Amino acid sequence: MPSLTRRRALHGAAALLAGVAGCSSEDHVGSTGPDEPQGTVAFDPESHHLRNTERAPVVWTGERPTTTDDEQRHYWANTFFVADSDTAADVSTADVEGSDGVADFLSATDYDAETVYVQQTLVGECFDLDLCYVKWSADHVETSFARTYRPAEVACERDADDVTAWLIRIPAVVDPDEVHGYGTGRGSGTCDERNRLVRERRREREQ
Amino acid sequence: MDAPTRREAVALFGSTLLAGCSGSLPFTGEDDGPELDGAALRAVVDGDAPAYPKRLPVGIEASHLDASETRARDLLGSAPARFGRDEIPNGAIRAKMQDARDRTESDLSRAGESRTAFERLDALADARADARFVAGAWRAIDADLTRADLADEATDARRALDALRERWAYVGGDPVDATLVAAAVEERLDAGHRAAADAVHGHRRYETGNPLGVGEAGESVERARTARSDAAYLSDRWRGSLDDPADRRSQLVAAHRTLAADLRAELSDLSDVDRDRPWAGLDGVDEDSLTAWALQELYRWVGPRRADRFDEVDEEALARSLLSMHETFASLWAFESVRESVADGEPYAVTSADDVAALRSAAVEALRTADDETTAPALTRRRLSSLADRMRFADDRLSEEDGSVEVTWVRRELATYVEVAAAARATPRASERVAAALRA
Repeated sequence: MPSLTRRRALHGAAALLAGVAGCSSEDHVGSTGPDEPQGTVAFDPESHHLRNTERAPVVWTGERPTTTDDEQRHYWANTFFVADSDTAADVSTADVEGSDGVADFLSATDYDAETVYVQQTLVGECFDLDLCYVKWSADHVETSFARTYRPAEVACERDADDVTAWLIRIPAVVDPDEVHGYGTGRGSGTCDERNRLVRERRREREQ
Repeated sequence: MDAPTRREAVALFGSTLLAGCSGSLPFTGEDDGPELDGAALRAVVDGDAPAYPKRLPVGIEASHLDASETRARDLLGSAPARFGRDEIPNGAIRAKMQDARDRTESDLSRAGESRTAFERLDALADARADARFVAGAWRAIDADLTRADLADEATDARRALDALRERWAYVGGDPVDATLVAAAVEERLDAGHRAAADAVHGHRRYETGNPLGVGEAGESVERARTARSDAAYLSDRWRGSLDDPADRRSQLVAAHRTLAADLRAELSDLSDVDRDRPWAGLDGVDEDSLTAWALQELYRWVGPRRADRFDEVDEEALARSLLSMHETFASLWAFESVRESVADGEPYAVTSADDVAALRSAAVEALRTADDETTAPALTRRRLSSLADRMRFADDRLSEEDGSVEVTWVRRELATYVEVAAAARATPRASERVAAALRA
């Protein structure tokens, strides 16, 4: 890839990151220890994410959620499942870069074997999130992200936040009505490092 | 359920913090005992305290220190004097780089205020490393420097450290001085190797392409280079100061074996001590008392398996291991003396600021007496320097108290005065023991 100096890069627009983080998924089935919920893990799962510089919902089903002060917080943290094509047809997005890809991502999902988990969360304006893994069981879903710095030439303030929405393709059928537990974590290491540690831990517990 | 003890409450509070929850302490409502007036405490800790600047029996020339300072300032000068939005639009990266710049300035100030050349040497090593972080990160932003570009420099630094390790020797003069200098060289060789490895494989807190990662690698390379140049300088200056630079290694190894055997024998006297509750068996010592804290802290250095670490002579840590045994002897005798004092009726009880003043005065007096009466001043002062730092840390902590504070909540700091006093009293004897073994 040709490199850009900072000065040259500053002439270009700093686009909001969006796109398919199409990674090869690696399933790992096995029991977990007492401090980890039982579940199956997909490392680097297929996903699509969007970013909104406004503190407002990015992805929703049905009516666009209102964003009065009282409700904003709820919708930023909104999570839901897309488990069939009817629900997929009901998904709408805010007008942000990458929103065009949402319909393609949903329609490319095989709902007989896959489920899309949608998670929305705040992220610092100067940071990106990388999705490391998704872990699920019949009643629980959990995600892990690595927080990374955006390029130096991206103009942002340290204390400001954006909203990101993640559409995560779980390679299994998950019944949304059965899921009652949600978890998410994020750290400053890379996904490679985080996933390596999780793999090691699970391997140790299986031995 | 019984109310938790104070110790359990503190542990619970710690786990609550770790779980990212906020909330008040799980107070039990029990009587917390006597309170101390914050203003009175501040008056106590404002009192005179001895200081023992870190020294090395090597004449460190101003020219060597000046070169290090110039290097740090040149590195800092290679980046803009101020990081604004125009220079670094990303506010999070900008803030990290500004932090590193501020740290460099602080290191340079500390170097300027250093009481000895040896302390200045260390402050300038930090300044060079922090300045290199700034310079490296800026070059990544402004000129596309990458971590990979620093790999050759890291390899060169590692090879230079290896070469120094090959040619360096445990020479002396006085074997005590030889040990002190050797420990300083060993420390730098070790730290340099770790830093050189970090530069290539290192912490990786930052993702590929992040200029802060380049800064981090640059910082590690600079630490490795500085460690090598300082180690070489100290080693050469020491050798150059000797009329007869005889190799003392076999003498140090023999001393190590003697001291390790002595220490194992003496530590075995503690085999009956309850390792989880080293105050157990002493009448009137409550587990939340400052005496219990002091005994637990001292026991950390003399507990089971402590002697194991001295069984083998580590080829690359011989001098440091000797100094570690010096500390262990002093801690052992301090631990025993506190237990004996309690058994003899010394309660170490605090109910007023006057009691705190008495504990602190005893520590100050013990430090001064140790310094006055030691027959091995270089060894003793090295230990007193750490103890005086510990006391200052407790002073600083207590001086932060506003209003009134319950004794139980500051017992850790109060226990520090007990530990410092006991360890200082034991240090001259430990110094004598180690010096005798080295000079045998």
